[in-house]
Amino acid sequence: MALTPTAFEWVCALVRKESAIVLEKGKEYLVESRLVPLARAAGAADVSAYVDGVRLRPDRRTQVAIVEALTTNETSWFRDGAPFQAFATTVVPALKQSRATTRSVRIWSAASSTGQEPYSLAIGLQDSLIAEGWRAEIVATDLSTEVLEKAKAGTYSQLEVNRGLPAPLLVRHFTRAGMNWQVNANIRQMVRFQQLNLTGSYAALGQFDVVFLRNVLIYFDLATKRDILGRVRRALKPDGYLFLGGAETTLGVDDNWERQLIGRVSVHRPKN
Amino acid sequence: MTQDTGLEVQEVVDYVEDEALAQIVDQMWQSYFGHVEPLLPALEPHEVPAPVLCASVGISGARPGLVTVLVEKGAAASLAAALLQEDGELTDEDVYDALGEIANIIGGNIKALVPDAGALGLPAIAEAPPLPRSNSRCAARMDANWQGHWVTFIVWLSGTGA
Amino acid sequence: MKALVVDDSRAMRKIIAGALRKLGYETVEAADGAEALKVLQEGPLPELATVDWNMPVMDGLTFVTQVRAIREYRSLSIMMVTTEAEHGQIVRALAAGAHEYLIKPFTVEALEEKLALLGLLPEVTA
Repeated sequence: MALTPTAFEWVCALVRKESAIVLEKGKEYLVESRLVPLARAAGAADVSAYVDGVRLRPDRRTQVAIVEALTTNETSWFRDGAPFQAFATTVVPALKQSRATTRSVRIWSAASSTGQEPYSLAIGLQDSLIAEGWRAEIVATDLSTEVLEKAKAGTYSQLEVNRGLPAPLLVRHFTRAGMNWQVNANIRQMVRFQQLNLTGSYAALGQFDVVFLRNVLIYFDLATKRDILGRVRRALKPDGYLFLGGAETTLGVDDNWERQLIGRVSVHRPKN
Repeated sequence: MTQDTGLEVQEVVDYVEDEALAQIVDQMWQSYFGHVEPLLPALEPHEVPAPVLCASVGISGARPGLVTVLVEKGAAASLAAALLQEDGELTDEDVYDALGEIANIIGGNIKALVPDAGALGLPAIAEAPPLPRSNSRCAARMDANWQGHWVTFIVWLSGTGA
Repeated sequence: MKALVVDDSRAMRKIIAGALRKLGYETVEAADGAEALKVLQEGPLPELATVDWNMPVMDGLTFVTQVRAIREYRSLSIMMVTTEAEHGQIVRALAAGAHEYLIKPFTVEALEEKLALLGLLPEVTA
């Protein structure tokens, strides 16, 4: 009935390899409860049987589904804090100067997952650019259409809104909807969600002032990372800003970037 | 015209569904019991065998409610120990306190689903489930098994018209 | 850093205080608002108070209102940690002077992230 140690360890190793997230001993319940729906959908007798199935006969789709099921809730609002602070205190004021004639900015959230990142950006712009009548468009892309559907709805469980969202922003920008909380329409309207494979073409996206490409390059090999960074550079305006994840860098991958430190946060800008 | 005159109990009961109760219980388990065995929802209703301990929390206001957590007496101490992450002997008071907090957490989240609900009461512990108000109905119920023991969560709600 | 954990449930006090101590906090506990006021009077003033809402003797909202009326306690950061989950209740608590609000049930990660928002997450040195 309960998850076997072999199945648990195999899942931990898989999740660690794919997402760098460490599931410690004691998280058996989490693993089991997250995988029950997948096991049921696959017609397996229980979670252990489901895991054993993919463990003995590797199947990429199932592996990805397992990793997604166990990592989606790891997303917080204003994840890691500092990048959003750097964005608000340095990048936005700089854009206010350089974009003063068009009074509009475009931001790309390039692995938007369940939507916390693009909505955090939209919320963060309320008291600055939006209050001053600027236009801001946030394009949020993700590989998974399932995740995009959830993001588009803008509906989050209580456990999800507990994660890193300042209470004053919760009451200002969210409305309770039954068991969940929904992002208010004015914030939702600022974000356009679109399915995109980062290894595919970005031509349809247009040009951006800022790109958030956080915690996603880790999934790719060096050649693909280089290709993605090169094409992100072309999707970014020459004086634009690129934010990567805390453990990610352009160094040794694509040398056409300059690193600018804002506090403890590295921001990457195209070399001209 | 009938807007404020009171909702039939059936309409009030519809605010809280089994699915919502199950979600609250699941969130609580994820948060506080992740290190122990999962709570396995039963597919069919199952009575908790006597002797039992019951923690309950009342919701006051125009649509009064009652949230009860019913466990086998023998399992109550291990449930409390799991919440407290303590291995040693627990006093009765510790067990009552832990059960009461479980009822409190569910109660607050249920109250948030009922429009214009009043205040949440303090948890009470008894050796039998309290009698719900005569005009109330079971709005949601979840029967589950934990470490071979039965646990039942029930939400009672009353209409405003009564 | 020092934290005052106010909750009428010993189990909940233990969960919150335990998580705070792991982060390097010293903790004191109180079982209701009146007891918590006494702890503050005895001093020294902690950096943080986590406050439950529904408690006997004095509830958390009354406690927050009373604390906010006292100048000497201005530097105390208050985080409500409660099962009260309505939009309006969060608004009330913030208006009374709470800085943050964590809804039960919560994970330890959520507690840590709220502390980070308050600038009260100590750098844990292994």
